[in-house]
Amino acid sequence: MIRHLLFSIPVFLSAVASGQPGGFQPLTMQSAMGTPFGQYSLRLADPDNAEKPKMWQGPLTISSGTVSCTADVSLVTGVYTAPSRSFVIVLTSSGSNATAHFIELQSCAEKWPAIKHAASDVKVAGNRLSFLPTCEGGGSNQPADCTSARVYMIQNDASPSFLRAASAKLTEKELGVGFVGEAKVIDAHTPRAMIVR
Amino acid sequence: MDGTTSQQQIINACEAEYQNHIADCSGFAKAVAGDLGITLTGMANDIVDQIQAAPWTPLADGIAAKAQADAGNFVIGGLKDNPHGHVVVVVQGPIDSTHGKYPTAYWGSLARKPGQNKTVNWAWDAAERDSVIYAWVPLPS
Repeated sequence: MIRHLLFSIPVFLSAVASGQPGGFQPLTMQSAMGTPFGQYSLRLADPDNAEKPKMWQGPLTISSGTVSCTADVSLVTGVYTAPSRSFVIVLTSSGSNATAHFIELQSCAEKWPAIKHAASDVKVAGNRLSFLPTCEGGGSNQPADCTSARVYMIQNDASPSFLRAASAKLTEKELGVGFVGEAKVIDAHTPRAMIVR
Repeated sequence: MDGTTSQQQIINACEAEYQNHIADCSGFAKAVAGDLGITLTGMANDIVDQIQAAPWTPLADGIAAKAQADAGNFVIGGLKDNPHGHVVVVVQGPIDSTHGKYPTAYWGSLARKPGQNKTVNWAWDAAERDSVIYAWVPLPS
């Protein structure tokens, strides 16, 4: 019995950490021929590197049998899928911003308005969408202009909900000081980090 | 003088500063400019404002930006945004092969998508890249 419980705990913790079983995971885009996901095949056009692409000019074409549609997404950095979800999350980049698009598999339509933030990176795991904080400038006792993390919970039938406390917590973890929005920060990314205005 | 062309001086400065400022576009542009004896200040949004006033000369588009970079002048491209804009250093090199209008550049990136000798259509997406503002100044003699 104890042995059974001990083996069960890691499985339970793993499910909690990812938000829910069967949450979003990255789809490794395989080739110009398309990457299978369930009954669908997803293809991104114009990679930056034919052998090891990290970014695609787009668009994204989704096919199912003889039917296909095209999502007009540009500078794609990743596609995330989840079993039993009717949409995929497509991450794109432009300038200093990252954008998450929620694309219907059947129609390529945007299921909900895209979410755009300045971010140093975007993580999708389970039912969480996290824009990581980013800072511009700073150093030599000068504050940097920092933008906080933004964490969202991905839902089935409603647009992603913003998690304010989780956003502040992730900002504190990454920058050394917790806030939501914009702030001038001295010594960001260090234990000495401090908001100055 | 070591005989290095001004075009190559700009590329050398970009290569020298690339790793140091890979995660900060304005920091990268300021460092490259500083290495070449040109002053830029502030964040990316400030730099976009600066290049729209003298001594900078505005350019019509990416093709004109390439022409000035090929001529050995210092060219910045940039686009303001809230809260963080983005700037690149245009260098001598080919225009993009797909559209034929986006010049070669270097950039650091807050979004961790830096560019090393890549065309500008990898810095901004299709919705924004035609709105990029370009301007040039000559290298100090």
